[in-house]
Amino acid sequence: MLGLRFAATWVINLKERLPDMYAYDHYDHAIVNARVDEFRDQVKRRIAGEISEEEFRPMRLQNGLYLQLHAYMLRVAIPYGTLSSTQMRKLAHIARVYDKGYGHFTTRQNIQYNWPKLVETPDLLDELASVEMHAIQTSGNCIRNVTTDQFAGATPEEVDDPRPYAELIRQWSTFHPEFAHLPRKFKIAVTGASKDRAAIRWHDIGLILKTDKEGQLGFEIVVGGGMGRTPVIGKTIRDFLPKADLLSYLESILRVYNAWGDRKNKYRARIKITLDDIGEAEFTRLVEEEWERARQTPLDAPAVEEARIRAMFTSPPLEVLNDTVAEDFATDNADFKSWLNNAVADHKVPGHGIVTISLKPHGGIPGDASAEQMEIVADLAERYSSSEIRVSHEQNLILPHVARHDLPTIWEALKAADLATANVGLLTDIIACPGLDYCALANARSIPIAQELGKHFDDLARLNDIGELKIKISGCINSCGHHHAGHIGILGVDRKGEELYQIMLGGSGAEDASRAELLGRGFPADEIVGAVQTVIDLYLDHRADREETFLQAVRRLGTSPFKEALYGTG
Amino acid sequence: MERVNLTGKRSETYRAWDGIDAEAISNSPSFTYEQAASIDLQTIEHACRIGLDLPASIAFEDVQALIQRIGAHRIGLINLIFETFTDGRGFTSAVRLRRDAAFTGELRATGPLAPDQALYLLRSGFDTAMVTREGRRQAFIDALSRYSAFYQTAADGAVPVSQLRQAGHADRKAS
Repeated sequence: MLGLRFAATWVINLKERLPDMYAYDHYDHAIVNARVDEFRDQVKRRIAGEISEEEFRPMRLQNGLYLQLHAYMLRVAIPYGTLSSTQMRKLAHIARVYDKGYGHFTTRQNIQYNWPKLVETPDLLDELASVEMHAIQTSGNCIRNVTTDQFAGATPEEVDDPRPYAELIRQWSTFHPEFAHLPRKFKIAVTGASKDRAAIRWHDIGLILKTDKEGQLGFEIVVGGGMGRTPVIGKTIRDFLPKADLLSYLESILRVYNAWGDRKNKYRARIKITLDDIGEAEFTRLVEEEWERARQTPLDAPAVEEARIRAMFTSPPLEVLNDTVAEDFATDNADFKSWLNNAVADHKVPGHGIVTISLKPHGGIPGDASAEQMEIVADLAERYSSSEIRVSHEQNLILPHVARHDLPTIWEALKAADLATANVGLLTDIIACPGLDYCALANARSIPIAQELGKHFDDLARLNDIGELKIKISGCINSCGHHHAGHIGILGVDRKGEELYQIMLGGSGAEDASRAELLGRGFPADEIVGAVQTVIDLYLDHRADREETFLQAVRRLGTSPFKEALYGTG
Repeated sequence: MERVNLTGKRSETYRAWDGIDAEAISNSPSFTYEQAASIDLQTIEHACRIGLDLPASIAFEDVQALIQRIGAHRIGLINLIFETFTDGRGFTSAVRLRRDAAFTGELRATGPLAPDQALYLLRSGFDTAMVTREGRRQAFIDALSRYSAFYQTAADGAVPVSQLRQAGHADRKAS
């Protein structure tokens, strides 16, 4: 039975292997298939009462299965945000068969299904395994899905492609025997670009690819970032680590954290608190001391393994193009022009672009995509983007390798599927957690607030005038909606049964990472949109010129004028 | 309590020392941390191997100090007692006992452990598990063969897939 399954997946693999993605070999298949079998057995034992819910909980969580308000929720990993068309079609199929016809792309390059039945989840995982996907370690107190820049390997502005390192980390962290029971969840992100699209400094470990004076490749190591109820921006504990030492250094950080992290109080259990408790200098000393030993032990992935993985991430063979098809089309079509300027970023190969597909239609649920929309994106990727799709932490989809002359056709298809809202990076490109509509932890709803903001600011000319603006909404202090990193952060709180929304300003998840500052008391749900409007009006009235972004203006003006406008006090 | 042998190596039985018989200790006693830190080592018969019953939460440096005090050659068993099955500190202690203290005796995990942790225990360096809930020995043993491939180099000596891939590559080149 197992042998047959391997054979079947191999056939698919060889036939559909893409030039720019990691392809499983039989070892990867064996590991993921064994996990499906193990989980099937765990579900069987749970249903038979052989294991208690207390025992089952960490087992199911480490396989991405949550028990939410209304039903189970399964979080599926999209490792470093990379998907093939085949994989996207499978996600659509799963949405149809196991959910209610849609999926929710999350802020950590995962997709969540909100309605799977417990008994069906092993079959669902089996389907994922058939396209080289899984839900391993998407939850629980372990190393989670590693994330990266959604433009990786396509953007002209990176030192090196971060995806081979992300795949190395994926393999190293999968079922790491020592780190399966950490004090708390652990998130790693890596980027190779000067512009940070991966919120590097908000992760437990952030890795920034760089070169040293001799031109040697390596990483800046940032540790201890995190949101939650204690937002902290990560600190650089090593300015340069040669790339060959990556895994031994990660192992050293994890080992120190596993030994020293607080296990009594879950709110003090993240590495950001450990680092604060021990002190940055002492923490760094402990890591470096441990690393002196760890680097002497056999490597989990020697250089040849890195080279093997890297060889799979060869950019698709794109021809340099020099045409004006898209520009010509834009001269007669204002809507297309608006989308072209907003959603298409430069590609490293001239004549090509990186297309961001907004999953934020005004009035829609941020990050949600229907099965039909997923299939349309899969088809477009197959035809126009080397069968490759990316998922961003800002809950959008990306076609990374598109010839510019195909942009009009792609735009027409996206528009027909309600996927061409030209609001990428603008006010209505909102990050929102599932909130009280789904989540058992939430204090307030997030989605309806995002929907109301979308409806209120449903004017692209106005949005473009306001310019770059990131609103991030969380339904509780756990901060899944990244409100601490929002240019405008909105936090839902519960006050004696009433949902109130606090506003904070000046956060950033980018290379200029900063923590948003709370303005004051919360607003009821029916007043929050008006409050945001007040903040925007003040910005428009006081910006130095049209070039000064909202974030720059907040940093220049401080929060006092905004407090004055909202509360009548500075 | 049920003992599960993960490695198949010989597993000795040690008896918790009652704290009274300090005249001549000769029958494979096991000591708590406090006992081991304070007992007069002269009272333990020279050829007698001893066990240590330590909380899994103990700092590795404290275990290392005990080992140095007693002498690694005299310690036959280090038993790390897990209060909960999700306390991962014992796994790091196991790795460091094998690597940094070069401990080659029996390493045991005791507590409310689940069969699904059997491979993590083995691969972190444990030889045996003393499991609170009985009737699960076979489930532990079965779990050991659940996976046939691993990404990491670990204490059980299984060859990681990165090396197997290279070996496979070399084989293909040779043929």
